[in-house]
Amino acid sequence: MPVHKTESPFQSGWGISLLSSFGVAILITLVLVLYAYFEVVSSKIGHLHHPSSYKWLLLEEVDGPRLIIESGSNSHHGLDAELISNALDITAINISDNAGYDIEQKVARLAMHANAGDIVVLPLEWSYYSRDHLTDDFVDSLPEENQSYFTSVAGIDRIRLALSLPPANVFGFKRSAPPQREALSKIQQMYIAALMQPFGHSAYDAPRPLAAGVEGQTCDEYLFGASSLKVSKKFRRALGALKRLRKSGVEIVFAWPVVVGDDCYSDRARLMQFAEAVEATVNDAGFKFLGSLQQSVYPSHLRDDTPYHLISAGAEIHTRHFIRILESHGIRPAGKKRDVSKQLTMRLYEMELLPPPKEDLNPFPTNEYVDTSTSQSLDFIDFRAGWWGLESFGRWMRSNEAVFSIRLPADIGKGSVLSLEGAFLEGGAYRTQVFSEGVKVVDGTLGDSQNLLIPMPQTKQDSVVEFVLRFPDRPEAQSPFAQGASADYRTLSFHLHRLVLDEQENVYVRTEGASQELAVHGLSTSEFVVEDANIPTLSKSSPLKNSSTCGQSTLCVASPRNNEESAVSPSTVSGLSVPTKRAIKQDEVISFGAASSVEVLDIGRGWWGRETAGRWMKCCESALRFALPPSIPENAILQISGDVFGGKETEILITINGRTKLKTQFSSVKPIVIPLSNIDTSIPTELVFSFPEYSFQSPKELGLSLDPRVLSVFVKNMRLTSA
Amino acid sequence: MLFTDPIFLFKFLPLVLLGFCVTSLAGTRAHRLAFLVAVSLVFYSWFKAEYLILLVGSLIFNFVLATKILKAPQSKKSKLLLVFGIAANLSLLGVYKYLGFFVLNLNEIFEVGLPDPALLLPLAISFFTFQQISYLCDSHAGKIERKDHTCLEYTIFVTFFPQLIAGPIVHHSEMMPQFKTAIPMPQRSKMFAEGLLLFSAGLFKKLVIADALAPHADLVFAAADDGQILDFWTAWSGALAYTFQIYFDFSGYSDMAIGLGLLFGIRLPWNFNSPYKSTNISEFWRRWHMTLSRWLRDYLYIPLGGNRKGTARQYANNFTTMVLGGLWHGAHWNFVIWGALHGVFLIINQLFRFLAGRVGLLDFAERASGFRLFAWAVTLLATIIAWVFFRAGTTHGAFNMVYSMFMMAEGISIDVPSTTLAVLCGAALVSFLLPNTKQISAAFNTMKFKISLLHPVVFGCFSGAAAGFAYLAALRVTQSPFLYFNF
Repeated sequence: MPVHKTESPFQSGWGISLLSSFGVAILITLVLVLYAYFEVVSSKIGHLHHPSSYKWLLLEEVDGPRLIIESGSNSHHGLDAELISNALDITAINISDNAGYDIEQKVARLAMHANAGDIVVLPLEWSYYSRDHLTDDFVDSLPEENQSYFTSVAGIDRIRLALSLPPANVFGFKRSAPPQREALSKIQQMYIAALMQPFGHSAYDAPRPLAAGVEGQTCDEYLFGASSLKVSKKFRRALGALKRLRKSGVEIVFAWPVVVGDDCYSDRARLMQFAEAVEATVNDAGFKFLGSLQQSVYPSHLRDDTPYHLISAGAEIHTRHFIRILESHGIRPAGKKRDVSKQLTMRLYEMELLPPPKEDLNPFPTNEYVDTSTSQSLDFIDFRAGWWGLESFGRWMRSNEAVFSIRLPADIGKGSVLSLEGAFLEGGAYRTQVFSEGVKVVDGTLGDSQNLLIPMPQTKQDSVVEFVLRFPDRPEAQSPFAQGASADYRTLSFHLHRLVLDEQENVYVRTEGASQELAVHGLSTSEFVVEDANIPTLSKSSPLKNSSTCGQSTLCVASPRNNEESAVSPSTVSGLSVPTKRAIKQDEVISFGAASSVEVLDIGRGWWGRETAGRWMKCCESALRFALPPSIPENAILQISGDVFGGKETEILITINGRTKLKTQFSSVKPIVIPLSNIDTSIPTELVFSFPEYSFQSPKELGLSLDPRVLSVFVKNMRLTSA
Repeated sequence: MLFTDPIFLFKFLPLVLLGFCVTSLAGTRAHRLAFLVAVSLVFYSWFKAEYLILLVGSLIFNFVLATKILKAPQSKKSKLLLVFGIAANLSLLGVYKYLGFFVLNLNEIFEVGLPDPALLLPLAISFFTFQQISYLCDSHAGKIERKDHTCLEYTIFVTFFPQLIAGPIVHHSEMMPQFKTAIPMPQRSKMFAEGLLLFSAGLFKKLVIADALAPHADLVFAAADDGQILDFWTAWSGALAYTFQIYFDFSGYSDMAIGLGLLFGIRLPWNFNSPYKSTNISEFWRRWHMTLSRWLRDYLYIPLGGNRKGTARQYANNFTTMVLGGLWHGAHWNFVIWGALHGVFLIINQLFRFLAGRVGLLDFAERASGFRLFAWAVTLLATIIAWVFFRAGTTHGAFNMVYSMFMMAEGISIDVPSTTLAVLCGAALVSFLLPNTKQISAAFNTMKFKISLLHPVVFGCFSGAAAGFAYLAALRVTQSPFLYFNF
């Protein structure tokens, strides 16, 4: 027997005491391993300067008294809090998120952030009444959108949550997430939510495909599963916590969840037994249900992607119905409807300023442009507050105030200035104030063709200096969507293109360089915008040598989809937004340098900013879109005139509407001609210019000026005419 | 209820240990065994209560038959009873495990359109059937004393829950005496500690290593079964992932089973001894699933004639044993091919040894380190190729994999996640270089330093860390069941 063969001379020493030592060693090591893991989790996701999702923001920041709708996604899609707010003139917020999230954690967050006078409505999904464990949905979301659930608990609850979180989620999250530089930050995402769905509700107009796990199940199977139904201990504990919350002056009522489908609640015997048990449990705790079970059942044609989700038409019906129920029960918090969007967007701006400024910035380079459309710009500039994310062409300010900081170089020269270039959404220029450390350092003008020079403090070598940029006279920022220009919901004000830090004297050199550059093209300086030819003073705006307005419209902006994270996502393949422009008229000459050109042209990728006489194409490929009149002559042509950088002619390849290709020579001598026969005028015409034999350089590379932009063709005019 | 399920770890096991302590302290040996039988039947019925009837029926049938055989062992009557018993046991196994396969092939070949019986394979049927067949054989052979044949001990021999579901396949001669032996307290304490050590190590192997490799192996084999040709790296990554997955899964399970046995004062036989360190395929089978190899040797290979009837017959016996061993794992042609491959590998190995012996190079082959390294690589390669057939869901899927592994074809590529790659490297390191749990257990039992608190503390820390990491790994959203539960 192996038992007897492995006897050791020390066998007799093995007694209870040594077994105890073994057991204690196991326990201590086990606890140490788990504690170390808890510490790792806490250090990774345990700290936040702002709520982790818009729902949390609503709950934490909207002033009361409020009607708070809390449940899983049935209410997120089914109850329009804005409609309730408008109808009852109250402040209603919908913080419903996901039925997979934990009921006890939800009640805990209510206990933390609901105040006396608030009314909480709980149209909980059925699983909330029967589930006794944390779901994967909830645990998986802890490192991201539900980080607040983690950061808001302490002690044993925090340990319990940390030890529910798979290591892959903790470590994989940072690894798999897109780099921060390319995505919208959480605050920016919440800002979009505050603009698009300020009260927390959203629904789709048309049904989406059925969600995973829905197909092949009846409605009842989806709602209740196959296991036996009984009220869980977890829900009973949550009821206990709700009772304590009620004592603090918060009113709590229950409601039945929205269910959508013709076959829902067909197993009446099973359902009614469970529903009665739930209702009895709730009533026993001193709470009541609003409405009846059947009042929340809707037919299949109103279903979105699951039997819990209504499309918007259904949500409106349900919400109006719910409003009547609230009125009939006399449920309404005191106070009036608040401008939730305005309150939260301001609060988000403040939250951005809560963390300390980044100290790990590289010293700002001197005598070099820093293009804000490149991720490298983030090595030099901390866009602390009031900005949208990184995108092509530059970075937008969200409103009329924003904060950024830079680290001054150790050897910053006397009289150094920071020059800002950019353009406003609507074009033009505005009075601009810049503050640093509470002191106004500039009061000048910034905008189309005018840059702003900010004096750099000489005493702050190798220090991070923060600047507040403010446009006191500009109207409140609007979104392109509000203006009817595109589907972009973001409020946009100033589009910052690039910055340069240099000594004041060098600014003139650049201006001279520009003159030389102009000479190459046989142009005079007067053809460029020089609104103020004087040497700029610190309190005045300076001429913008190379105004690079990236689209006066919304060509360079993101198209956020609902409140999802939104990186730059052009709405068409070519990168052009859906045009809302008027059609070109026959024989109309469109001047690319005129501000009015944006009424007709959608300037896509590959262009530099508009200048007085025209607009430069970038080196490789440039896209342009415009609408033609519905009927054009059979021999209609498009003439495009301009200059080639360096004065030579170059071969240009023109792709028309992604198909027809035309190869021709572009020269300063005569315009190119694009035949438009057989073109479909019912859709916008899209031209893509490219240069097969590209060998363009920048004026800087040629030693003509300090302008680093690679320039190819300077397009001046376009004309629709007949051959 | 898997050994890794929270309900087993935090409810069933503590309650059973408590009950075992109480019955050990307050009751007799019979009480203790009766308690173990009861909890073992509860454990089995947790999976599917209906099959408890099958298990209990099989138990009663075999116990009664063995009782009759033991009245006159080695007689004609007992031989008839033995044949009847083996036939009945194999019929039961055949009906549940192979009838569907038989019907499927019959329909395929003769197009007779027989209905698929669609019987669900009762859990552990292959294991408890084999154990009972060996008991009947040894009863007939006179290797069991009539006085040792008691109902209670027979029942716990078959149903003891740590080994009931997926082995090790125990032999009555190593179990029955333990049921009778009273273990002194110091020895019991030490077994308990060793049990915890092995159980923690098994948890770690299963949850941290095997389950981390499973998703990638599943993905690659699913693609191959789907008719895809894979690129070279993808095919090899999938084959290697499965090679280590099955080792750490099954050896982890066996370690847990042995550890659990020790918690109750029962030492189960070892089932693994670093099989991937083998330098030939015979050695592999002495290190892999050792209790199955032992059973096949004692109750199939030797009765077939073993090596007693000439070289050709020995090769044929080897081949037959391995093919039937393959079929034991499941009713699928892939298992037959897997067994046949191993049969061929064994024959090649024996042929090589025979020829090397004839030319006087056998000694060199066994001692020269360079040649041993080569032999190890060839053995591992052969094992990996055979695992492809063992794992693939379809035969064409297995051939797709083998084709992809060797033909450098252009095929689909599946990225190996960095965590999988790291675990794969760690698994290889552990398999090839580090001591196995058998050796760790031996170190635990034969202390090389003076007795002190340090000894239990070191092993306790090892166990605690293994359990801690296993707990964290178990938080993974998806866990795969033990692979040998299918057999």
